[in-house]
Amino acid sequence: MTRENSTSQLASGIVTLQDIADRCGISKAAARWAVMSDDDTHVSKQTRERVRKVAKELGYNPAANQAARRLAYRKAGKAPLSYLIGLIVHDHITANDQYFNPLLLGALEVLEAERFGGMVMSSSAFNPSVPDVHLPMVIEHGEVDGAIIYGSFSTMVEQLRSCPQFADRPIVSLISPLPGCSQVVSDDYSGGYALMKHLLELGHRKIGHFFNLAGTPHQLRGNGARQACLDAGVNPDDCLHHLDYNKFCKTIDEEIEIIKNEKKITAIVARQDLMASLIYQALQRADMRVPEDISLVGYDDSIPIVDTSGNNFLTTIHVPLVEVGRQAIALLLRHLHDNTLPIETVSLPVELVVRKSTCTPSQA
Amino acid sequence: MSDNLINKPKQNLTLNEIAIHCGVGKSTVSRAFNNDPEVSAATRERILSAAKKLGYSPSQHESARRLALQKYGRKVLNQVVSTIFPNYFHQAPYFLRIANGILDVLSSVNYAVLQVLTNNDSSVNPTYPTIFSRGEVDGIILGSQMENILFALRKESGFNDRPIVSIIHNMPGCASVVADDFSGGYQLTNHLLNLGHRHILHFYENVDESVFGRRHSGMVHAMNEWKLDPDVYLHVCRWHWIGPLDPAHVSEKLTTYLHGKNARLFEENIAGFLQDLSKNPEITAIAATNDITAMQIWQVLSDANLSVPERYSLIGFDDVISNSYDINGSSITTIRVPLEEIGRKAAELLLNMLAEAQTDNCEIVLPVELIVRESTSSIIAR
Repeated sequence: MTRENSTSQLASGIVTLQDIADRCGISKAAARWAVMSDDDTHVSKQTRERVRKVAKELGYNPAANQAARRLAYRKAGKAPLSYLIGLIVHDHITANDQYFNPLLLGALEVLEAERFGGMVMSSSAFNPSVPDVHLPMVIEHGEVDGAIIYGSFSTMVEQLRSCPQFADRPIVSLISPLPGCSQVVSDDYSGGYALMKHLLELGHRKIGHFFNLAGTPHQLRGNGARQACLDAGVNPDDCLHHLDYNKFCKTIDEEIEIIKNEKKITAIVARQDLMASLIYQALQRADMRVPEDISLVGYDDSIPIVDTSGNNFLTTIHVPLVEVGRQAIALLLRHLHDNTLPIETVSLPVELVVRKSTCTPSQA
Repeated sequence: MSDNLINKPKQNLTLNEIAIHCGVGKSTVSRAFNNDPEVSAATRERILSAAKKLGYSPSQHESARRLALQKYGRKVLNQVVSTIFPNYFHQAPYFLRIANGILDVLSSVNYAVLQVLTNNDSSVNPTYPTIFSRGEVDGIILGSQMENILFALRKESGFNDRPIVSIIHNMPGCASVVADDFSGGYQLTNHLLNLGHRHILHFYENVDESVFGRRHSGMVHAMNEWKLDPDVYLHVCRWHWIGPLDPAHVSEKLTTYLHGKNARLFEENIAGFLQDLSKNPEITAIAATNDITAMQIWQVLSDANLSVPERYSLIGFDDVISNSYDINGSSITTIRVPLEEIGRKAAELLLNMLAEAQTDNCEIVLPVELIVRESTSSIIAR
């Protein structure tokens, strides 16, 4: 018995699961469960403790074992799963990024169930304008099975693909689609349509919006909004007023002042709830009441605007961000297990949540 | 010979073969792969492109290198650090700012950050991803008071000697990066006493927690310096007046409060809090657990027509909401905790420990600063 289990040990210099299994008189699979998992379903607690004791005696080193296993795979021209997924996010996950957090939560929930690890990586490594940045070492060494990307540079997919170890790994982008990979997005077209339909039904005919029409998600929202106008028999070019974001950013109060003096626009559609709350503060400073003087609509349902009784009163489009995170990982894992699947887009439905920041425009 | 090599990518290509192909030494090839500045950019480029043509696989090379190192019992770094945060971290700007600091430092040296979240009950060990049991996590940053998790990790074979850095809380058995909570408590108490306040109510989550313990000692120290008996002037209030002690619940409470759900339960707790407050009319200042609690208290007080800062001076801790969307947030006097810096320092400390430049479990204490805004005012002005 001793001779047997020492053979493989001698051969590689590394204690393997087989060695432990032989010593304990159990199968290799059972040894793996006992060493790797705290789960009682596969091996009993007693067996687990016995096996672990033996593993310790033999000097079993899981990292060395893993290295040997991988080397064997790689020599055979195969890429073993590392059970690691890269979660690549834009440079600074700021506290104000209300998207990232629920996305991460949803993603980690699914990863955890599959015992995958999620590694947060800053996209600064992918910034094309910064020379001499390297991808995280684990990516360069081919130890990341796939990646989800949230935000950031459009060249990122290309850059990941150009790393030989990552050329054929699945990549899924979230919210803002990137070319060349699968994506999980929310239905921006319907979101734009629903909020515009709501405002039109209330009687608004001059509506200012902050959608950045150059970006895909916003463009889709804009298209949805235009369609809602057409369906209501309203000329979208008369009804929709594009408010410039950058200009707005510098002169938030001036912009509101103009809206106040011209008395044309009766409703404002923000890019996201965060922006809606900034607009709300500017409106307060300009003595404009929401919704009596002007209606305000957010997007994403992530940040409440709280009224005096502690209730959120912002009418907005609810985006299922946690679900986007979950679906992204589910999609990634599907592609990981079957690399013949074509690139696909999963679009999740959004929902209009009517609260108190919108009402019939005043006739003043 | 080289032509043959190009046409047929080899499975087991060695550095030597690449070296022969490029007409350089084996060590130069190794240096080129490791981005050693000793190798000129042109040479590196030439070697890397030749290696690519020859079918060189860095992952196989890496596996082999690791196996070799492991066999000789040498340390192999995987350049992966795990952070363990509570699962409500996604809604707490506090943790996110720390996480930013960590990510800043680690991504600049091509490390990846493995994100592990615990469930609400921090006594339960999180489900670790497979990479943990493979022993390929180089070190860990613990994002909250997690003695049980630390204890369990230290017992695991892979982690008994790996560097672990705890942030915010110091714990025996690992290094830590914390804020100077003692000074925070001292500064805020001095500020209130200077404004003429004498009876101060201190909210805290749990007296056993190192953070609140240190903060409370700082408050007591300031009281003593002013020759005021803390037993008389320093009032203590626990969260169970309003809600449970668990910070997860506090955060949850805030959310439900903001969204107006479950309002009845909350209102009952508020009634109790206000009742207790009215029994102690000599209290004129409230030191909240943190800024978020301070916001809640502010709301509760103003609903009860008790104005801040006229009736009660209110002081927060952390300085997390001054730039946020909340309108009152910009008015709270608070103690600024350098959250990003805590994250950065924790990551740097861990890297030092991995490089064995730092071997003992040291404690780094970062200074905090009093930020005076509108929620505190002089009692004499009344």
